[in-house]
Amino acid sequence: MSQRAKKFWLVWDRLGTLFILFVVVLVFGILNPRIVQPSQLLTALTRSAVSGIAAAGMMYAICAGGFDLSVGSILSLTSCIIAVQLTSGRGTVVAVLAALAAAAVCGFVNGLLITKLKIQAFVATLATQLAFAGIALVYCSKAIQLTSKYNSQLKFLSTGTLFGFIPMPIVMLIAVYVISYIVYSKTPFGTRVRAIGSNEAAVRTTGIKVDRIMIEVFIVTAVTAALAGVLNTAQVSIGNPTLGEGFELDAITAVVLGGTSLSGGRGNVAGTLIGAIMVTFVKMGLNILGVGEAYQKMAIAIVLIFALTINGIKLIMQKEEK
Amino acid sequence: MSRRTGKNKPHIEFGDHGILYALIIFWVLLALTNENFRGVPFYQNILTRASLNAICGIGMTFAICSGDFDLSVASQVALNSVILTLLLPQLGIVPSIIFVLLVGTLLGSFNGFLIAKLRIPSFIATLGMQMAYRALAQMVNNTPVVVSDKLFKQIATYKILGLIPTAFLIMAILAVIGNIILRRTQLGRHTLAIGNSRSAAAISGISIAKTQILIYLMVGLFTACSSIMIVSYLGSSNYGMQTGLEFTVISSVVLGGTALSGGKGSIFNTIVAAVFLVTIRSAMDSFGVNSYWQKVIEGIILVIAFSITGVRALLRDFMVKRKARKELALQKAAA
Repeated sequence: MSQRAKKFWLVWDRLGTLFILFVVVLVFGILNPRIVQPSQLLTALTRSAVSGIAAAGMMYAICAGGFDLSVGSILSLTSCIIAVQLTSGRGTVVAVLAALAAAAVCGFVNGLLITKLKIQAFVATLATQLAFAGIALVYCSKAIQLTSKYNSQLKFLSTGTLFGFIPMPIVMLIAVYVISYIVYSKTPFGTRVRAIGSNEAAVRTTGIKVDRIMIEVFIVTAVTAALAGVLNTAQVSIGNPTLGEGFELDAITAVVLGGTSLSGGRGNVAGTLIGAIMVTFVKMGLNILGVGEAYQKMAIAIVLIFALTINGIKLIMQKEEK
Repeated sequence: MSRRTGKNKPHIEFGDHGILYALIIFWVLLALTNENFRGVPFYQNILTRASLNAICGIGMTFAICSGDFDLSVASQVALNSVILTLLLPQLGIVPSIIFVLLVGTLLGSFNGFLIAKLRIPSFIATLGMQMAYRALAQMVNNTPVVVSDKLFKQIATYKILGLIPTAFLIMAILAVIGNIILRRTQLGRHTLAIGNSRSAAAISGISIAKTQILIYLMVGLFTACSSIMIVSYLGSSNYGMQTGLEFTVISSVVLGGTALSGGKGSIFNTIVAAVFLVTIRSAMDSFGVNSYWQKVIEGIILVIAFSITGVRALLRDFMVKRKARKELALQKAAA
């Protein structure tokens, strides 16, 4: 690669996602100026909280060289548990904690399958996606509408505000990302996750307990998915066993758009957040333009393939240099 | 590469066919426990339904043998079927089948292009295309269509001499063709070589990009064949059909002993495993197992199938350690 190309990729790694977001906003702004009003941008930020929170956890899984396809089913399961617990008369805190605990168990199972039974992360979570979705359906076979009697406290998460003007979803989103950033760049855990992603065998020889960290990573991924599930349940006020269908793709798209390398070892916390905002913004913009659901899905798929293509071009250029 | 290269040996490997024994034992158990499982129609039904998935499994065996996957097959089936049902009344049977086969080839080679030329990891590329093809199917037609052509419906449901389902016969022919491609042609050998070691294959002069594109082209072609049979069997199509087919297909390939890491595989075992899975499903149906529990059970079966290699390695580890410990104890006793 020429010096200039090297420099380009260096800048691209840092600012590429932001650049794509800028282009997307610009294109929508030209198509319909109403879409880029500040109030709409705030709505986009609020709506991106659900996939953004799950993407924060997914980034750790991908960064460690793994993958989690079961987050959608975990989100559905969370929604079911909260609804069933609330309607059977338990308090909001108990319901939320029960849901988070169940998700942690799901993540633990994923981690065990991947580390102890040595199933590829991607295949193992494909299987558990089916199993968890099944459990959600067994637990709560049809959607439960949460009336105001049950969800008065839960509703605060979606419609409440901090200091009277910051919507709670944004507060949660920012809190998750601040924690994620600190854990990723300042703690031994973050360093080890990155190390495992870039060379697992080498890390193993240094005596670090790779299996344990991988299990922890999958628990983190599952719990963030559950947090997203709590928020989503609060927003829609329904306990729905199919709430999270196809949700994993949103989270993965956000992570990939954010510049996290799929081969592991290199994550990007801020990029993931921008990626999540972009996915939501594209969907919302198309919605306002009156584009149907099928075309919205198509657009997300195209954005995902586009982001991956840029990554691929970079790989090819690096290979040619060798 | 392939274990056998001699000319006079049979095409099918008879080395490891544990899944065949498992199927036979399962059938015998079912026949003993419940009279529903004793008649010919039951087995005809199972073979017909299994054939629909198995045809897709033939293509998937190639993809998994090369160390890759295709997660988009279910959406491909939906898109092919939606197109097929739209064309049938206008073009007639043969032209619309040919057109759908072409569409399938196109979808498959596009996946191959993304994976081989743009270097996108196969699972994420096909995950993205899963969404794209499903959306495309919805764009083509978002209302369900019922097939009225009686002759077309016969393709998958007719029974030759009242005994052998045509679906099974077509599947068998396609399986033989697939097996010949996998065992006897350059493409098949390159597929296995790539699955064994990508870098070694590249060093020995195999064009990986070309092989991968051809593999995905075949996945698309076999999936198109499968879609034709599915539409003929169900007699209808809609854009949301067959979600989760990729689970069934991948699990039959893996249950059939094809290593997920690639380099080894058997089309015969894939088909037996497909029959096995459909048998389990029918058995659960007739024993009145709740359809949600069925999902859980299928997920667990999938996990077991995937973990066979890992469990084997764990057992080997355990045995080696135990042996070493025994020897140590003996040495200590001797001293």
